[in-house]
Amino acid sequence: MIGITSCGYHVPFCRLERAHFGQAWDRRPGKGERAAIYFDEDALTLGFEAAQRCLEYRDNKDVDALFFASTSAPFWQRSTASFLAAACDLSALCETSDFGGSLRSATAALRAGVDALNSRRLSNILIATGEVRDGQPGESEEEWFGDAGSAVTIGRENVLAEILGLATCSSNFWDEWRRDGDDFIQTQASRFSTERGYQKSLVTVGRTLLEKHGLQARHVATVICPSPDGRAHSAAAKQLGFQEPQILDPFFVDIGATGSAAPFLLLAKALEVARPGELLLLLNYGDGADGVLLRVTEEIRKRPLQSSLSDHISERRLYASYQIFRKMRSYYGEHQEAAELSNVLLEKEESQNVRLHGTLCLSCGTRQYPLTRVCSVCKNHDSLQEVPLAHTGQVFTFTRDHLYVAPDSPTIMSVVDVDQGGRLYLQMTDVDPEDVRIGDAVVLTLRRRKEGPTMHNYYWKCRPVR
Amino acid sequence: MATSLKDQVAVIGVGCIKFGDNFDQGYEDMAVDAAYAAFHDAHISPEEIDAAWLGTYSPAQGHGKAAVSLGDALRLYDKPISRVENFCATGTDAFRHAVLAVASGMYDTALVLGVEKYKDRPGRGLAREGVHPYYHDGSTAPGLFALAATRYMHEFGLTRETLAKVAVKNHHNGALNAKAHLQKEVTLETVLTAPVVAYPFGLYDCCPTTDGAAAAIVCRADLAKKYRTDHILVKGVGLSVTSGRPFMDPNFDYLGFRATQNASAQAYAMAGITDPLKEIDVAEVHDCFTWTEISNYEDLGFIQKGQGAKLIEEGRTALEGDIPVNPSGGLKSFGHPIGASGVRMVYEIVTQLRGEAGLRQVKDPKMGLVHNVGGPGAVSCVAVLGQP
Repeated sequence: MIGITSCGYHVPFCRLERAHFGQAWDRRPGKGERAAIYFDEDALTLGFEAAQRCLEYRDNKDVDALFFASTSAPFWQRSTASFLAAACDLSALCETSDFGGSLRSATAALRAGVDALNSRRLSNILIATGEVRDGQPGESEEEWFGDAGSAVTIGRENVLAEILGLATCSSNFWDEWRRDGDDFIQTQASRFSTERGYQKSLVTVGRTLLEKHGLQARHVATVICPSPDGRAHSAAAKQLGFQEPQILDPFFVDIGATGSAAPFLLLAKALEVARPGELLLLLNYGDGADGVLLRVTEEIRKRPLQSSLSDHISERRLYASYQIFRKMRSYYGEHQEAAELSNVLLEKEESQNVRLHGTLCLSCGTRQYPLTRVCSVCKNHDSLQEVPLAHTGQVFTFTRDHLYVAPDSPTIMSVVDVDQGGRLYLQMTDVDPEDVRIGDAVVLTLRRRKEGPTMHNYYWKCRPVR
Repeated sequence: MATSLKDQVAVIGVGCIKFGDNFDQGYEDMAVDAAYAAFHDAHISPEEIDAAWLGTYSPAQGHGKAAVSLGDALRLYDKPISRVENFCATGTDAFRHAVLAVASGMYDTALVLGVEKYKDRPGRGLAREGVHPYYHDGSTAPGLFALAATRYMHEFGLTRETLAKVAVKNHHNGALNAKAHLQKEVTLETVLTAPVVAYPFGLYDCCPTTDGAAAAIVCRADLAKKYRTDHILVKGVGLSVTSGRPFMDPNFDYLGFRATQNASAQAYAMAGITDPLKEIDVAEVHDCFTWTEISNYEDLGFIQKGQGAKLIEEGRTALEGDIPVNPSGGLKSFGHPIGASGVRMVYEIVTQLRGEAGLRQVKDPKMGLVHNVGGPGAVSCVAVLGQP
C-alpha cells in the first residue's frame, strides 16, 4: 500500500484584512484576510516549518528523499530541496528534487514520488511546499493570494490515506504567469479564465479519475480543490456531480489562494475529520490539472494530526495597514546590510548552523552549542560527540531590543535552553513582544536573516508553540 | 599565587578631557589634550617616557589596528608602544599592562592613554565588529546586558524603580562634574517613563555613546618623589577573561559576572584587602547600564549576591554614603568611550585620593577602586589605588 503517512502545514502568523486593500486602492473592501509573510519568511522557510511538523520536529531517520515544490522558490539556481534536506538533518545520501514553474508543482512532486515508491527506488519521501504569492499592487490578486507552506510524507508503512489512483492533463492556457524578472504574478483574470482554464481542466481530470475507478461523485466523501477566488472550485465540483456538503472549504476567505501550498494544506484539513474507508478526491489546477484519489485507512484513528487548521490560523497577528504588509515583503530587496559570507565558513559550519548539531561531552554529559573542541564545563577534550540538538525548548531569559535596526521593532532576543540540553541565543519571531515570559515553551524555526550582497542568509529563530 | 606588586608603582600624573559629543575634535586632538594634561600634571616631558600603552577599541581611522594611533598623535616615535583591546575593560587593562611593565623593572616611566572617537563613525558609533554573522544577529550592547537584568529581576525580584535610582544617583554626581558628558540631574519619574531601549532598560538606564580621552603616567614608586610629593600608589591589579559568548554557556546563571569576581579577588589579594566594603573608600565601577552597577556591588564583594539593591536603596553608594560609587557620574553620566573609560576612572580615583575633586569630593578617601567589565561578563579588569 502506498499513501500519505503524515501531513503538516504552516500558515504565517501574520495576516492583512482584505478591507485594507480596498482602503489602499479606493475600491470595495473584500471579505476576510490574506495570509502574509513576516519579514523573515520566504517559500523556503514556510516549507521548512511544514516539513518540521511532518517530522514531528526531529524524527527524520526513515526519510530517504525530500522534494520541494513552489512557484516562488528563493533561488532561481540553487536547490531549495537540498537546503531543506540539510535543515531537516537528512543524510547526504538522500535524494532531493525541486519542482516549480506551475501551480501543479506540489502534485507533480507527488506523482513523481508515487512512481519512485512504486519502482521501490525510494521508501519514504518528504514533499514540502512553500509559496509567497504576490499579485500586482492594486490588482485583485494581491488580496486574493495568500502565503503558506505545507508538506506530506508518502511511503508504505503507517499509511493514513492510500493513494488509489492518479490522473493528469496538460493545458497551454494563459491563466497566471510570471516571466523571469517579474516581481508580480500576471493574469488576464476573467470569467473566461475561470471557465475555460480552471474549471475545464479540473472537470477533465476529475471525470477521468472517477471513470477509471468506476466511481460516481456520491461514492466520494470529500472533494478537495484549491480555489483561485473562493467560488470557481464549487462550480467545478458541481459539474462533476458533487453536492455542496462534499466540497471542502478551500479556506479562501481565511487565508487566500496559496498556490502550490494549497493541495497538501487542504488534504491535511480533510484528514482531520476523515473516517476509515472514506474516499477523498484531490483536484489541483495549474497549466492543466492533476487528480489524486485516496482512501482513508484505519491508521487515521491512531495518528495524532497537527492541531486543527482552524485553530492554527485563529492565532494570528493582523498587520495594521497595507503599508506594513508591503514593507514586510520588500525589506530584503531594499536593505542589504549583511556582509558577504564566505562559502568556506558556510560549509565548515553547516553542521551547527543548518543541521543544528551541538557537542555532547561524554565525560560530564553537558550538551553545548556551537560545536566545541573542549567541554566548557569539565574541560574534557578527548571524548566529545557531535549530536543533533532538539528543536524544542524553554526561554531562560530575554529582552525586547528597540535599538537593533530591524523592519519590525522591538527585536526579541532570547536565551533558549533546548530539551535534552544545549543553550542557544536567538531572535524570537511570530510573537507579541509583550507576551514573552521566562519559561515560555518555544520551537526552533529556520528564518531569513539580513540579506547579503549576493546571498540569502538563513539562521535559526524561535517562536511560541502554535 | 602571583607575587604582589603592591606599592611598587606610583601614579604621578593624570589627565582627562571634557567627554561628550566632541564634534569639533578628532582622535588626535583628544589624544594630545589628554596626554599633555597628564605630562603637565606629572611635571614630566614626553621625552622622559620610556614606554606607552594605548587603550583603544577603535583606533584612529586610517591608522590600522596597531599602536601607531598613539605614536602618530603625539609624534612620540622610537619608543615601545603597544595597543590593548579587551572589550570594555580596554582602558583598565592598558593601565594594568603599564603597571606590570614598570613593576618588572623594565621601564622607569610609562604613559597610558585611552582614546575613543565614535562620533565620526557611521551608525552613531554603535556598529559592532568581529561578531559572528549568525550567532550575534540581533544583539546590541544594551540587549546583551538586558538578558542578565531580566533574569536577575526574575530571580531576585529587583524592580525597574531600584534600577532607576542608580541613574538618578549617577546623574546627580555627573551634574557636579564639569568634564562629564551629561551634566544634568534626572528624576525617578523621568527615568521610568523614558522610551525603552532594551527591556528592562529605558534610555536613562543606558550610558551614552561618547567621545573622550584620558591619560595616566606611572613610574617606579621609588622615583615618584622626583615628579610630585602627593603621588598615588598602585595596590593591586587583576584581570579575568571568561567566555565571549556567555549566552551559549549552558551553566551561566545570568545573575552576575564571574570575571568581575575573579579580577577583584586578584586585586584584593595583592592589596591585602579582606573586607572591601570597609577598606575601600571610593569606587569607580562599570555602570554601562543601571543593572550592571547593582550586580557589580555583589561581584566586587561589597554585599552578597542578590542583595545589591540594598546599597542603592539605603543611599550607601551616594557621595555622602559609606561606600561612594561613581562620584564622577560613572559611565552613565560621564560617558563611555570604551578605551578611555578605564583610564578616566584612574583619573577620577587619583583626583579623589588627592582630595582635588571639588563639589563631588568624597570624605577623606584612603583607598580607591577602578573596575571595568565587558563582553558582557567576558572580561573584567580591576585596579586598587591608595595613599602611600
